[in-house]
Amino acid sequence: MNAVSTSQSPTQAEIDAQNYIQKLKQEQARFMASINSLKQGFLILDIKNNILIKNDAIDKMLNLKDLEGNVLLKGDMEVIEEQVKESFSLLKLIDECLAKKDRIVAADIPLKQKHLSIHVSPIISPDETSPLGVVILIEDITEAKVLERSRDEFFSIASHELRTPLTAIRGNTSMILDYFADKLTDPQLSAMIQDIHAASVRLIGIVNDFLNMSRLEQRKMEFKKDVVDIIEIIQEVIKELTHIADEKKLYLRFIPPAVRLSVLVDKDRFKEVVINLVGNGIKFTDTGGITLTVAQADSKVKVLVSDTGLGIHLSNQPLLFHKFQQAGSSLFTRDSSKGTGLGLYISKLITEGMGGTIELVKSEEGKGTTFAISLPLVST
Amino acid sequence: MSRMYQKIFTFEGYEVEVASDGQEGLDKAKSGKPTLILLDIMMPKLNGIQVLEQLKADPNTKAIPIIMLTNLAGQQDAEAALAKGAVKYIIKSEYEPKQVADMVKEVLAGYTRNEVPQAASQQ
Repeated sequence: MNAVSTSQSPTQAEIDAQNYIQKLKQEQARFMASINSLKQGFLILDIKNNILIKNDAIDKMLNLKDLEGNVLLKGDMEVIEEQVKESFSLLKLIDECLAKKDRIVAADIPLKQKHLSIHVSPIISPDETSPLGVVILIEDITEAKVLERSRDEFFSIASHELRTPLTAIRGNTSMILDYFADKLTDPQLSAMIQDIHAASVRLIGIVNDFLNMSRLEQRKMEFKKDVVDIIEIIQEVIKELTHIADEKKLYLRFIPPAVRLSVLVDKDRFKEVVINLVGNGIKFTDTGGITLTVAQADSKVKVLVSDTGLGIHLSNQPLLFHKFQQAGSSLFTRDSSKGTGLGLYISKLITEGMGGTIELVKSEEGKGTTFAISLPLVST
Repeated sequence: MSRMYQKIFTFEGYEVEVASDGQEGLDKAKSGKPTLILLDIMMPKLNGIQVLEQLKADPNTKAIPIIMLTNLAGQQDAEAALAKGAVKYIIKSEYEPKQVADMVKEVLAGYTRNEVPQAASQQ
């Protein structure tokens, strides 16, 4: 009885092979699902620039409509190269990547109406000496670029537009007080015009704060760094603010270091930071005064600004260097006469932009507050 | 706003000529040969930088001191103007008109270049 069975029972090797193939198919399904879920365009090429794998997004990104399938297709790179040749050469980027054996990034490539960011990475297997191919990731950054440019322009134009009428208010009120004092016979009239002038000066300050903050946040602020003597800077600040301290009958003291200490900073910007800290001290102190100390701590120069003022409640301390926060718990509980709440935030951006740190050292309600700026010491 | 600056300089005893756009400014400077020119940047027809360039390129006007008087407050804008031959760069909103008049007097007296004034506090 020789029954010819059409299906023989599989051997162990065949069962293993089936299992293995099934696992591979599952892996491939997971892989393809992953890359098709990406919004970035994704390509894997072999060492001969043949496209092995591509995802759906790449067609949209490079305006390719006639590529089909994920199979090995010779000549597809030529199609892509043809599409983009007016702006860049993808093949050149690939060559660069393979030569360097490292990822290369073309951060901003304009292509027709879009802006693209292209990352090319080599596929390196630990067993092989040369790369197996490349992975290309293409991102459409058009919207981000448009937003960035319009934000830049907004702040630049807005601050200019706001400054123009503000200058007219400031200038005209100032001239009325200077040249028409004889016509302001009623002191109330004079006081009102002074108030208008003061308000316009404050508004201009606020507009400047917003513009500076925007520039600092986008790292567009240029720092003109020089080696400066820190004692000189502190003395200049004290000279400028003494009369304000005097008005409130507060002292303004300076305890200089034992030796001359130099730092590498943008002098005007650094002065702004010190003025902000001392100004805050004066603002929030009613009796006593402000003390500035400069000392060397290891390889750093530390500037301490201490006041005998109201102090900051423990619950408000974490918010100090954040935007628009005044040392009060609610955003509505604010004293507009004490500024917008941007001073410390801007000071932090400036200090860190110059390689230093700024922090609250200690504060006790009713006793006073101490802030510290720390900068790398420059040996001269 | 040019009316405001016209007033302050008239009060301070100067003879003042005003132009409302860059082209008019250029023409008046060439024909009038003023002692000093205050130049805004954002203007119709020709902007301040273009006017500055043309005045410095013309041998008849290149010796006239020019002070930029503007609310455009970028460090780069200031450096660009000074590099093109402006004597000073004043940000309008930072100063009272009288301070601007004083700065003009200083320039006329000394005719020297100064650093870009960033804010009221300057070394």
